[in-house]
Amino acid sequence: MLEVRDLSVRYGPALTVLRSVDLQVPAGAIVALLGPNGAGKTTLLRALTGLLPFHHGRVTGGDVLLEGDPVRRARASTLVRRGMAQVMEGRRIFAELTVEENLRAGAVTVRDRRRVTELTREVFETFPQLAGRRGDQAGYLSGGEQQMLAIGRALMSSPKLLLLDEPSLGLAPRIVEQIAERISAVGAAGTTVLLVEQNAAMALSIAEFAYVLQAGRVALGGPAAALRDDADVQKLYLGDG
Amino acid sequence: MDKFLQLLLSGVALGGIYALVALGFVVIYKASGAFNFAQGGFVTLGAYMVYQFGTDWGLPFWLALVLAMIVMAAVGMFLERLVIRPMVGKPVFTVVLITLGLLLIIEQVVRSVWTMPGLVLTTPWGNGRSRLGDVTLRHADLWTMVSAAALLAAFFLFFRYSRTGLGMRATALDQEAAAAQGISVGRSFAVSWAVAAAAAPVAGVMLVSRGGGALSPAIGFVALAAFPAMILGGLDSAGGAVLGGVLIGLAEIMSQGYLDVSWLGSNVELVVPYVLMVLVLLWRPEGLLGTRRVERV
Repeated sequence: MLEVRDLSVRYGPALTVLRSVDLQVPAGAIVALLGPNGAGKTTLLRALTGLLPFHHGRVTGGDVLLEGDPVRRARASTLVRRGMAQVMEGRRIFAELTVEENLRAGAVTVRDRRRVTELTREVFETFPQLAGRRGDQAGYLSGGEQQMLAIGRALMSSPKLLLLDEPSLGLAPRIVEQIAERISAVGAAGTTVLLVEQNAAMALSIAEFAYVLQAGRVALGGPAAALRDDADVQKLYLGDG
Repeated sequence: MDKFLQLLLSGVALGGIYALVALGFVVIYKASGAFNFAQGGFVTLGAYMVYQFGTDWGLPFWLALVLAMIVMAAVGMFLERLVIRPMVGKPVFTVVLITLGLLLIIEQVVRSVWTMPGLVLTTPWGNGRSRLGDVTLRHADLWTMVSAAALLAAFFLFFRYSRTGLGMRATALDQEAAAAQGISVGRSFAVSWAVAAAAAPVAGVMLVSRGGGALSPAIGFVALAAFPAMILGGLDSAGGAVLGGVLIGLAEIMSQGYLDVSWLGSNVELVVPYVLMVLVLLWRPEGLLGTRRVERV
């Protein structure tokens, strides 16, 4: 589905954040991307989704292939149309729009109005908490509900590939569990998922493959089960030892 | 009572014009956070275009008006692309100064294209009047109210229900998050300039026709009287633009009719809108309907 080859990214004239990153997200899989703060996880997602220009960043080398086609220079809107959707770090819902308007905003690439209505209904089925608040301003939702809205909004474009940036951030353990379960269900329904997380235990519990990013390089990669058993990963990210 | 009704009618009509101009400001402010002074120039240019297509070339008035709206939409998009888009990400203050420059340039262009003095814009209603009891209804006022109401309704429907309108609102709130949904930020900017510029000829025609039809390159500066209307209503609120417009229009006309403060000098009514604006801002800094940031506590 997605292949990252030898990708390097730089902000401004000198700040290199990613160095020769290689990564593969097979179709239908849930892939976790772990790593400490500042490792370049969010930067990688920006590079994949065409948002680098908003941060004065640019790809200085390597390539990104979406279903085999190079998309390194594609614009964000083109990538959404090609089936890539994302849940941004910090949720970034439109606080002053209603819940329903947020979902419709996630479906701007869908031309057929009936299809939008249908997709909205599906999201409300997936996240019943949101259905009762469809007319409320999104800024008044709780943190967990906002995260669900952000995921629902991303699903509105019926993506083939869903990228999530730290969906567990700042949420209570019970809510994190719910979110993980939903992401797992999205994956089971056939959507390929790339999940960026600091909560490694959660990410490794639902992922099939995982990568660890450190200081802008891929330090480790392989089946999620193998990483769960890896001594370094346990020590650094799973709180053991 | 008759005097009051008479002034009410005139004030609401003037308010409708202010609301149209203010809405042009608000649409662009909402999309890009920049205050577009050139909107006043669009009003002038729009009025002269209607004169050119209708009065001069003899096209039917309504056709001339629609044509002017289309041409102005194109002018708006062109200017956005030419001088505003390259400034995305630069300080908003710089953008605002550029629009002030545009206003002066447009006024000069109008002066050099339409050099003949004393041009008069003809409208189907001309100086027509009807009497309702003891109240005189100027047809220009009636048409102003009707067209302002129609255009404002169209604005609301567009922003509330269309995909493009929703995309523009999302862009105004968070450009990057909007782009992440597949909304083209550049397109949202272009459309906001097109919409604001397209509304300008209507405001221009109404403003000119209110003054008896005489065209002047300085109409754009009269349009800046919509300034307090917009600030009063809330810079980022379309509903506020309408409310502010009507309030300012009424305040101006009512003070002209009733306020007798000759010791303050003549033309006090021209200051009243600004006094009203200052008072409202002291009470509600975000304007009557402006956004208070939604924040969970």
